[in-house]
Amino acid sequence: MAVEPFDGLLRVSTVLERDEAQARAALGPFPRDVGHAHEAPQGRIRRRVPPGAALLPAGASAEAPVHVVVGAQVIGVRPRSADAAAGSEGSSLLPARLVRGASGACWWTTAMTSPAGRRPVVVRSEAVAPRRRCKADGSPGPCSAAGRDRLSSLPDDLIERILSLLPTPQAVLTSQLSRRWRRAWAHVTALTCPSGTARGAAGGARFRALATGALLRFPTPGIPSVSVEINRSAYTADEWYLQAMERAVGSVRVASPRALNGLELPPCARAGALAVRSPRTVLTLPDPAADLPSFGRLAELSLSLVQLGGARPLGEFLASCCPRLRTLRLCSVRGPALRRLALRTDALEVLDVSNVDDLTLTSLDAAATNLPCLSVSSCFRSPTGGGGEVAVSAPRIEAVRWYRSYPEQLIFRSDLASARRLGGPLRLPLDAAHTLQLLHACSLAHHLDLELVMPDEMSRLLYWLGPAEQGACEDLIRPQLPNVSALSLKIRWGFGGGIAPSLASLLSRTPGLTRLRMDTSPYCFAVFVLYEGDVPPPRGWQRWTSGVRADDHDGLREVAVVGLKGEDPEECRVLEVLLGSAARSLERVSLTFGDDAVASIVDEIATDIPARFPVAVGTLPAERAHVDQAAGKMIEESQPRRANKCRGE
Amino acid sequence: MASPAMVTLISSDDARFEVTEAAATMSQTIRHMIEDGCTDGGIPLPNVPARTLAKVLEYCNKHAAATAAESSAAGGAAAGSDSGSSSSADSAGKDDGVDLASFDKAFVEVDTDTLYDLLLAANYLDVKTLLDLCCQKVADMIRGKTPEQIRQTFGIKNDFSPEEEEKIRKENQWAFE
Repeated sequence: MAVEPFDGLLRVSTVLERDEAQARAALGPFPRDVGHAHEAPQGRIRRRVPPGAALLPAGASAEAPVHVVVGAQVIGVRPRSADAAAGSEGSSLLPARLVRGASGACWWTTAMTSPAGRRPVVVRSEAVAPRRRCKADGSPGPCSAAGRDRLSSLPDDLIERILSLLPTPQAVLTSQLSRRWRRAWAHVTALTCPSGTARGAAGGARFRALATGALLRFPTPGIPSVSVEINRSAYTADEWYLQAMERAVGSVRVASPRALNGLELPPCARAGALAVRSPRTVLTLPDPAADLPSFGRLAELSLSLVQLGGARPLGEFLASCCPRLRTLRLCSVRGPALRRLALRTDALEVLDVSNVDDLTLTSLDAAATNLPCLSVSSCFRSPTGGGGEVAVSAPRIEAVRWYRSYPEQLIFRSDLASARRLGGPLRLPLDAAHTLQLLHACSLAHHLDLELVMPDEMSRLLYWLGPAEQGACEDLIRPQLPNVSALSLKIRWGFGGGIAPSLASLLSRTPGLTRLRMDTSPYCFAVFVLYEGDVPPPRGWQRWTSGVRADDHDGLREVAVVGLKGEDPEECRVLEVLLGSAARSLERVSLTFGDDAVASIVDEIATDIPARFPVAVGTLPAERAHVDQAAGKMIEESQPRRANKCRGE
Repeated sequence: MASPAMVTLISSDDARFEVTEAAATMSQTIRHMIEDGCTDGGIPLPNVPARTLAKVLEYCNKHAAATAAESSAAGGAAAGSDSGSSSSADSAGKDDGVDLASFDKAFVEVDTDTLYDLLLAANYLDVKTLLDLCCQKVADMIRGKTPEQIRQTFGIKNDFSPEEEEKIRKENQWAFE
């Protein structure tokens, strides 16, 4: 089990070898007491090898390399067959463990039998350097410590790539570094002009001069990537702006940090992708009178935060001017041009609409014969309540994402049988009616993404479900989902509420499951304090949450649970259901504890795991960073929580 | 999902790495080698030392595991177009996204030597996302610095004569503050 601090989380992972005999053969006796990593164990041979490299057995020469199995978290070492013949038996897999010393430095260590004799040896890698930042102030940090200029010796195409990521005026300045850099910038593929904090007339003139200069000197007539950040709409009338748009042949991005007085859709007739992001800015679509189609090559259009003004409906504009549009993304867009958004297209492949509330007023009508990906999240939230109508006809749909808020009417004109992925996440029991509609419609989905919120009282559940659904609450997750192989669950539960039975119920509906990821978080009851009313007896709740046992899940191979606290008894029940139902087939278990989890409880749980896996032997000692010696199939490692502190230094 | 196919990669210093095919084929170079059937006895990568390969594989494993959540159907659709792939990355779920973003951020918090090694390896192995990540990191280290500061940071030797330097300075006058 490898433990690594991960953004404030303590991650514990276990890899289980499936075949017991193989695992036992592989592991052999593991020398005990490697001790704290910074101390050399007495009487054992150590050998330094480059960090992350194959670990060489002590005494073995360089021409006796070993296999290193790099997993997401666990690295094992397998001697080459010649060594194996001399040393341990057969093809054996030795665990390598990340060990952390008091200084915060890490080592990979492993133990193996030396090729010559049968003496156990411990090999360890050189310290894996704690991640260090280069000094940001430009002073010579560790970067130039070697005294070599490796940046300049990078191949041209890499230097061009790097320079293309810089604001163009800065890229130009690199021509002054050395001869090597003299012409390097002249191969950049991106024009990037950030107005930054340019303010007032002087700032504006300065920005215009920079942008004009960069454009004038840009090496190629067609510009593969144009990224312009403006803080005044006046710039869009500038010669440099119009020229840049005209010369753009790849992607164009126009962004503003603040509201502009208005913006026309950038006139980039040759561009393949266009992104506009400008908060609270009225964006005008080109006049229909102009010669069309003016965006004949546009394959991707993404609009964020703008208000679509003007009389021209977006749907009509897209239909007449953007015949090749494959991706349409609308994020927090509003305005009259969006109402009655009707899309009729054969080309569209991705339709992604999020936080578009104006749709509530009217409708989204998408008829896209080849659309594989539909994503709608947080739309249709009208302050006046409900409304809206969505009709989708997409016979080739493969992935449906729908998160929060549904229109009054949701109609799929084509069947969703080809949908393989369903997510959003869909919510239960909130949005139950629509979630069930989608689950039924996409009953052949392979991947499912759900959010379960379990209230602490039945009354809330009934309140969420509404009167029509009350009869169904005891069997909320009714559809059989035989094809679901990967399930991602976000779960929140309330005080006193139970999630384990519902989880068991869900597992019994998904017999084909092989991978499960669960994110848990404490339930925030304050959200629902507005609810007032009589509290009915919790019989329904009891009925719903009891009496369901998880069937054995012989297919479940991978379980990841994130956000554990370690203290909630319900967590234990959940883990019991999860791990208990699939003890025989599980190959990988990853439990990630929140930063506030108590270390001793984490250790306790880790110690408890072997009991759930009868074939697994191994313990996880508290406050000690190494694996026990037992010949078992479980490779695990604990890590004192002080490592987190080291990391914070 | 059947038990994952494994491939063996051999670094320039002859260390052997066993990784899932899914992780290995994040590298277009390796993908092509596998498609050409050159996998017998391991895939030799003569340009990548073990130390760097281990690091690259750490990245590939992490990202392959994250994208494995994508359905094969969505994956097939994503392969059809660049735009599609970005959308499927979006749909991998917010938490996965946050997870990966912080992994990526931490991943390139390395000394510059390692960063160059990663750059070269990512370029040779053709792991586009890793290459972008490393290039962005270097660009971020250049951003906002004066030429002199850049030279100091990266140990670049100024081999211009004073006259030449003055000439270029004049040329670049428009780009100066």
